[in-house]
Amino acid sequence: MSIFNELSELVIKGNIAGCKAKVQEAVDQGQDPTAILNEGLMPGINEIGDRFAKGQIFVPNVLLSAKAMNAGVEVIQPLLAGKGDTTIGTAVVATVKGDLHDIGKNLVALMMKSANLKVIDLGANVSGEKYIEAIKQYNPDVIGLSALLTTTMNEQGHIIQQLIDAGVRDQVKVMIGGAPVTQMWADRIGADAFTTDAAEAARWAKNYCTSKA
Amino acid sequence: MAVGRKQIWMMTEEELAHVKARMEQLLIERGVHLDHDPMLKDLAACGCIVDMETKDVKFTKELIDKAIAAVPAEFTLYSPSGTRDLKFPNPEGKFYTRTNTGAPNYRTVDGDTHYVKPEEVDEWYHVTNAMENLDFVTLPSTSGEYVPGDAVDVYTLEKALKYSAKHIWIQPYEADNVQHLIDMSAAAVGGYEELRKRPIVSMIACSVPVLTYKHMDAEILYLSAKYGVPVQPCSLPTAGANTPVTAQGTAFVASAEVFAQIVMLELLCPGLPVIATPLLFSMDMQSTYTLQSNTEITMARLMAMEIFERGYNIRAHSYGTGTDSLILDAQNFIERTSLTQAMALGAGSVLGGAGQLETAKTINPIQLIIDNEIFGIAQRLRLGFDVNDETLDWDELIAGIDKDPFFSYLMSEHTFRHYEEPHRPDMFNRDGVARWEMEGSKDLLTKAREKFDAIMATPDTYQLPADKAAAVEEKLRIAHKALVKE
Ligand code: B12
Repeated sequence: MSIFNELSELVIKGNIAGCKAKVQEAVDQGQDPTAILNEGLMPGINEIGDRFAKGQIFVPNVLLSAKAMNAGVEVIQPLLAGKGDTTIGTAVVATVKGDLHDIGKNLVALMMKSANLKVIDLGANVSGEKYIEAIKQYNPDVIGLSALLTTTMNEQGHIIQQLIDAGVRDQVKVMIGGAPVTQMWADRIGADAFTTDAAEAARWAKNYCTSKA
Repeated sequence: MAVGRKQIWMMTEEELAHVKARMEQLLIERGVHLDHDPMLKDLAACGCIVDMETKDVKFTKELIDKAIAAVPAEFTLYSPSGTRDLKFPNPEGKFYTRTNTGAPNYRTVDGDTHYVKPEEVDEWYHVTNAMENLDFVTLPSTSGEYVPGDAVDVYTLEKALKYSAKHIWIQPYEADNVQHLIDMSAAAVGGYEELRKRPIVSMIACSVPVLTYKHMDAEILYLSAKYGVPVQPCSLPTAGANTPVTAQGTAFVASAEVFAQIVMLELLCPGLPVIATPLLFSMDMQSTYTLQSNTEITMARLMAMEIFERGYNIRAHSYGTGTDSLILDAQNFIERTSLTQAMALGAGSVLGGAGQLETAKTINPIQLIIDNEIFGIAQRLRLGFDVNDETLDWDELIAGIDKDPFFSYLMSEHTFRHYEEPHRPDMFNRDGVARWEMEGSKDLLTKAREKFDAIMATPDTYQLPADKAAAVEEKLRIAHKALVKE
């Protein structure tokens, strides 16, 4: 087995310490850091994504594999071209004002991180103003608005309106989600995407960011 | 307790003692986070160790013991009509039952599903009033499309107070609304003192795992203690998402969160009626969907009921019926029946969730009418039976009366004494094919629909007297003015 295959396997197994050590070993052997990333670590996490989509593994497997991958990335990060950022895009996520349900939003954030996005999590009970500040500060590709109550769903619409008023709406894609939310609602309030679950949310964001690049 | 009641325990005596000790240790060493300054001050005055900066509260063993000793052994949740007052413990050894709370969706009898409309709340209470195996009600979550979004709870409570003959369990949606909900309830019985004496409502307060109480819920506890309104404090953990993934760990955290609420309530208002209400969920690790009916979480509920009922002699409440199915299919009925029956054999004093599908997100009147039947069966199981010479029919057997060629058990004295005992669900088939076909080959869903139509065709049996209704309306107007940002 090549060292790249071994790296993929370690990511798939979610072996954090093993992955980190193996990346170091590859570096010491003089392997190209970009190849370590693209031929070793990435195929592993992509395989995990496929297996999850097929219903063969569970969320904790995905998260553990993402952790293993990140442990490996940390080793090569300083060696990468331009000390580069390996993430494919940036997402700002939060649960909207008046709503404290954050389990779904946390999952969205975790799955997006696992899909190699940089994620800024603003927490729960977050106002339109905070989103606008974050857009200005982080220049994200997508923002995610979570709402779990029929009473706070409206806030998703208000926030989109606030983005328009602040002149930042066109800078980002707005994704919405949460149990009571539907595609119909997304259409009505002018959101760009609605997904029913976190894995799908991460796929959507990943597709968008990579298509943009 | 009923004669002959049989009960399943999930824990040995040692395990129960261990859990109790750990739960108290958690409150003593880790404490809770409570976002409510006046309440923090009052708790400090009671002797709790309070950090006003971080809003953290710790308790001592003495305070815990004092609080638990103050929980009333007997109390009554009253009904607006006076016809369905609920004495705790249940004098017949039964459990009490209630409808699902908070569902945002209504599935009509014709199968259309949408956000709850105000007229559907009226329909709902018309049906709940007619359900003989249903003891108290909750507030459906009327949509902000039809009533002001800032005040859905107060608008829905108005309907409950006007139309429900049965005790009302209130789930507030905003901290500012709590006082108004209490004001309206008091108006329905003729004042705050009357409400304290004859509480026709009780409150939901709910922790955020782990051991955090947001401002709204702290306000609910605080004002309930102030006005003497009974509380059924809840915890809604999702195993694996915000509490330990094990059933035991989730039952433990939820129970500790509920226990802490009871301790705080009894310190602020000794003798306040409380019912411990851990309502457990779990997360499916594939779909990440929240599940209400998975098997381990049912076991967790049994464990949580046992912690309170057996461990502290405090009445406890959790889900009875419910399903993760989205429709009225076989999965739905397997889940809700096995859940209810397991819980009926456990220790809980209240079993809830009637009428719900889709993991507590949708309510449906047909479902409610069928849950009424499931509860009837489960009550029978709960009561258990005696085993003695009379129930064995020893005398007739030893006398050999069956040897008489003309004898039939239909004519035995013993049969005459006991033939009315078997439980007969209202809508179940008890006929052969020929007769069933003659009567239209109806299945249970069809019969439930007919029952629904019959209930709706009969005028409702209860309405709040006009003077009280006017007083409630007046309070609603005040609430509207204060809460609704036009
Ligand atoms: C757990 C829970 C709580 C916990 C929340 C803990 C926490 N840290 O989040 C607590 C106990 C604190 C709570 C409080 C309340 N709750 Co609550 N809660 C739930 C429960 C049981 C599960 C929600 C959940 O976590 N689901 C699991 C996650 C994974 O699912 P999800 O959020 O839908 O997320 C998935 C997708 O939707 C999507 N997604 C989510 N967000 C996003 C965002 C984007 C951008 C995208 C693309 C996708 C996406 O991906 C996720 C993962 O696959 C639901 C009932 C239920 N069956 O769902 C009620 C429920 C939502 N709650 C309800 C209510 C009423 C309340 C309270 C008002 C009750 C009260 N009086 O205390 C308060 C409100 C507090 C507030 N201001 O927010 C009602 C809603 C009614 C309504 N009108 O809408 C429900 C339906 C229960 C009920 N029947 O009463 N609740």
